[in-house]
Amino acid sequence: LSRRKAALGKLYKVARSSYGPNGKIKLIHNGLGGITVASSASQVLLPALDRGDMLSRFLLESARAHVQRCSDGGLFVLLFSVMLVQGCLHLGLESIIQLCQLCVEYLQSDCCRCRVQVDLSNLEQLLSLTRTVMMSKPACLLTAEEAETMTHLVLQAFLRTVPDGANAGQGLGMTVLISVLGCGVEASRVLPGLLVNTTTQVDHFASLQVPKEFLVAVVSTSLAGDILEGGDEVLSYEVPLGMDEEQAVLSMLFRFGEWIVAAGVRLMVCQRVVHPLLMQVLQDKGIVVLHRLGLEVMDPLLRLTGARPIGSFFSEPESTTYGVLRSLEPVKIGCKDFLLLQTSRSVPVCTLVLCHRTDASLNELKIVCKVAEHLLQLVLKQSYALFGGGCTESHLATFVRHQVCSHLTRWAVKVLFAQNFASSLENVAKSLKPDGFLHLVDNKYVNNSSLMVSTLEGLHCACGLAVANSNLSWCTLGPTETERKFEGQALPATLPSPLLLDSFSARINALLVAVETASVILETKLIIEESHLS
Amino acid sequence: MHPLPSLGTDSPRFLQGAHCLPVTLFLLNSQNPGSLLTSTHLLVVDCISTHCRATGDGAKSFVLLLSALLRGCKQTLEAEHLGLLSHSSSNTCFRDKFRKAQQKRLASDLQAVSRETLHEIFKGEIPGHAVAQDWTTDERGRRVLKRVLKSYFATKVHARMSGVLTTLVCDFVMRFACGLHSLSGTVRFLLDNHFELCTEVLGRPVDRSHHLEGLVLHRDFAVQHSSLKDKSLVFFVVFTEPLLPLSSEEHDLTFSFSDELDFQKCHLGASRYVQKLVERLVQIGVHAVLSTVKQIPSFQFYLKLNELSLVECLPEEEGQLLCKLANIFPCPSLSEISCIDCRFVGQASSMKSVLLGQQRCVCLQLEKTSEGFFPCSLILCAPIKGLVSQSSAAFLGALKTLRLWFKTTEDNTVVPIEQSAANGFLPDNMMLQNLVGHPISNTTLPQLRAADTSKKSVCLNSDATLRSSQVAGNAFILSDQLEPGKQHDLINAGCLLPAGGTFELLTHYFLTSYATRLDSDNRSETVAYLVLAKALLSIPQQLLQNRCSSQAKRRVTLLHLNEMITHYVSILAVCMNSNVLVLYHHSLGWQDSQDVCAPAPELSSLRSNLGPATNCHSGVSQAGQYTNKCAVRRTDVTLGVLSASLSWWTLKIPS
Repeated sequence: LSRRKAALGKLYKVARSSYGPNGKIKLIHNGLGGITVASSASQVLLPALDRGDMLSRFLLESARAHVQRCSDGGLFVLLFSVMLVQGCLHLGLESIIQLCQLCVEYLQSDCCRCRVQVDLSNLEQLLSLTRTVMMSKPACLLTAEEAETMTHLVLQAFLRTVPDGANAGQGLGMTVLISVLGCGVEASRVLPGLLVNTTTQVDHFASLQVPKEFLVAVVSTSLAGDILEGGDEVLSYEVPLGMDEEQAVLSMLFRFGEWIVAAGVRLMVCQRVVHPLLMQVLQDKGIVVLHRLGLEVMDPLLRLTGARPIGSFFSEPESTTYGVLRSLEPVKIGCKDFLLLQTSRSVPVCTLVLCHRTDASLNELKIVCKVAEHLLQLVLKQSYALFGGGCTESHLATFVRHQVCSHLTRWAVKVLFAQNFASSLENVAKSLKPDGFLHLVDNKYVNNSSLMVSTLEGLHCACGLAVANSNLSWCTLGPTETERKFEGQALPATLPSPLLLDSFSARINALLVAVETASVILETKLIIEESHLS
Repeated sequence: MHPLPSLGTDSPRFLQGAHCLPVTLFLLNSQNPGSLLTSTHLLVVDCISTHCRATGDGAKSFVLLLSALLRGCKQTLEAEHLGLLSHSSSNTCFRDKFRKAQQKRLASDLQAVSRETLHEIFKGEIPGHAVAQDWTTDERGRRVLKRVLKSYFATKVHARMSGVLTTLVCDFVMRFACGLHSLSGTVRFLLDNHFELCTEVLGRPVDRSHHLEGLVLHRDFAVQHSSLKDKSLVFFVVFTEPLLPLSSEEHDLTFSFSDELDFQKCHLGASRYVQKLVERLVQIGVHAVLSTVKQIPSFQFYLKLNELSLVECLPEEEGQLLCKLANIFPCPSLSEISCIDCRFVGQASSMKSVLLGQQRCVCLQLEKTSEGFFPCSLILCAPIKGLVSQSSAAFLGALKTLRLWFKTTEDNTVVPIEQSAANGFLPDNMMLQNLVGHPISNTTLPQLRAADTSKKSVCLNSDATLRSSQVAGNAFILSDQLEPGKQHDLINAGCLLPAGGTFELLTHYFLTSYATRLDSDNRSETVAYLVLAKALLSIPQQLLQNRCSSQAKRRVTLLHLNEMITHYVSILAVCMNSNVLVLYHHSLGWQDSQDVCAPAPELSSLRSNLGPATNCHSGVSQAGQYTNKCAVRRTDVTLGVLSASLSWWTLKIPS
């Protein structure tokens, strides 16, 4: 028991000290000569923490699987499951699933008072959701203004990926993230269309005269003059002495080039390599050639241009395979040269350029932007959000205490056990603030608040919903001698702004995964580990 | 592969002397068992592995029985040795010879018991206490199946997962069974295609596991045309070979060219072949191409050009299953294009991309198969890989167990029995409930029955007859007709015993009874009976101990083990949570005892077991395999069984 507690204690310390906007940054070095990473994001921390005993690995894997699925809430899973295990170890095996289901049912019911219906036409709510994520990672090193700018940019990029009425059936579009090191955050921007990296000087493109709309050929196969590929099979060729098979292939490539020129193509983009001679020939004919773009760019490029990838150079491409672009604009961001491809059609593809001065912050910013984008996508599936800043946790804790005390026989859960469950939730809420803070809950919305000073003036709950006034009273977060009332008012029709909001889908999944992980650990009687025979 | 330790200088002598001894006494006989420990582990682990592969269950019972049997043998021999010391003044040499003679005798007696008496008990006595079940595909069959699965999963996965898996697997099996009209056929089908029909999803709570209509192909589209999702009927072909760019009759992949023009012509020819092939596919109305291999890039290109979709690199088994269910042949890749016709084209209701965890897969919803069912897939969710693999392994194990159940049902004949006291005791729900708190007296104990052939008044040969007779209100047990020289399954398929150690208690009871009936001259044989009978008690004893640590503590601890044997039925009721009849397939119990009591054939291959090719990792149960892979597991047997080796103290080998 003590060994398990000790093993979990280390995880708890790491998770607690990294959790939320006040979390401390961790420097991570893999010990194999890799770079040192500074982060407090679960996407970076969880793989780095994969050392230690079996119980810790089990917990970490659970949190990691959740992060892979929902992007957010990895540290919540870790923290909550550790607290549940530590709080319930001495009580023996009990079903915490029942309590969790109680919470989930409440969160999904209409009477829930810690969630809000997200109106997709209300930008303020979407901004709140994005802002909560943007401000939760101190390693991004963003000032308040920069965080606000980034919040707007991420939301702007997301909204550009939502197809309009005419293309509603196509599904969400794509945001391509481009990171540029060395510029300030203020240089970050959202660009309509696709920004592709190019090794050629942008001045070259600036001098090109391209028509208003021009044809684009997107080639997915290699034009380097390779001989035929055989799929899974390895093919070998026998050629007579003196025969130059490369020349034979090259002449076919030139013929393909002639077809491209004849079709009136002005831009040829190749996923792989283009033979330098072919490239020269095409450029001489006034065709812009971009190659080595890689697989990642192909999907947004095809969507943007409406082209179909050309997979063979042996036959003449049909006219329907070519796509159309409106403009080809050279862009220089920092010391990097890009080419911005834009179309006149309404296509949900855009580029989010992220700039930062340090590598670590840029990486963290990239992670945060990806998380925010994913959470916004999740809102489209379930248009709800939960109050952030620990308010949902403290609200649920009070709800559990109230329910178990009121309906003990119905839920058949021991009071002590329910107290532990509620305490674990409250501890997660408390983890958002450093030690030394006094944590309070209001009587109206049962939301969490924390303060260090003795005055209650100007006090508001962590999510921003409850603001101190004459009608609002506060009491200490945690168990009380008398049962706390849980019949507060319904949420106001107009919510105050700004609010801290968490993703509903991600948080529900995190809650379920954490409880399930903890229940497995609590049920475990014996840990068996493979040991090598000496 | 771990390096095997050396056997020591004196090991060959042990090996020579071990040929005629069962493994138990071989261990006891060893003067330096420590040096043989690893090889012994491998042997035991190999036994367990073989047993588990065949039955899907019983690994822990096996270890417990073996351990108890070893302990019993050792205690018996030591007692006899002490007796010799006190009553004889013989020298050390004599005592050693005496000890070895005793060991040999006990070994041969144990073998005789396992060969003859156990055989008789399983054939004649146990079936009288079994309940024949109605394995229909209707609601009644579903209830029975659910109880059986509940009993199985309770010991394989953690409590929460057990409940979810029971309902899910039961519904899954019944879905197929309703189409196939046979549970046995369904189990065979599911067992053959377990991996193709089961998909693991990480990062989700267990109760998000569900059935998904259609077959999940564990690959994403390489080419997906947007119109595919709007189609109400999708026609597809399956390729199992790569489309070679140049045709060759003997699949010789070396091509000769005479000059550059020839080289170009060949390449162009290859391209045209692929082009014509795709045009042919369009001509016969194909919408999607499924391939078990990676195809050449130009094939993808032409498919895209002709608005066809492609899924490639499918596992071979999935391709085979698809062809089987759609009743089509795989498309020949190197043939005359005109040969490709509707024989190779399957049809499905829909084909779409689904996101399962982090993996994007294709879900192909097939039309009703020729067997009469709509294929569906089982999606198993869990927070981590280890847990979801454990669920999957438990599902596979359950199917193996069920397969055993139906193994001989179709071959055996069925004999009706009367539910009377003379025929033995048939526990049911009501009786077990009534017996809780009212232990039955000795007078109501089941009487030993001789093999009663006079009851074989009605012989039935099929499941259908069995079902119709049971509907009429008769209960049946299955019995095979013994014929000289024919290998028989002693335990009849389709019968059930209550779980919780019933089988072991019954066998213990009958062994003890047989022992008391033996002549006083057969003292050594009596000892073997009693050693085995006592060893069998380790299973219910362990179940009781494990249960004592939970909610049934108060009720169970009051009952002494001896009383338990006498009043086994009432104890069973307590063990079974008072009012829940949990079922247990007694042929599994039989398998356990037989394997443990007759390991001599295994011993003959001891030398080969010691070879470096032996994989010590193979000898673990499903749960053990799980622990090798990932994390923690729940165990209800507190044995120090390391995943690949049984520890010293578990086997109680004297040092």
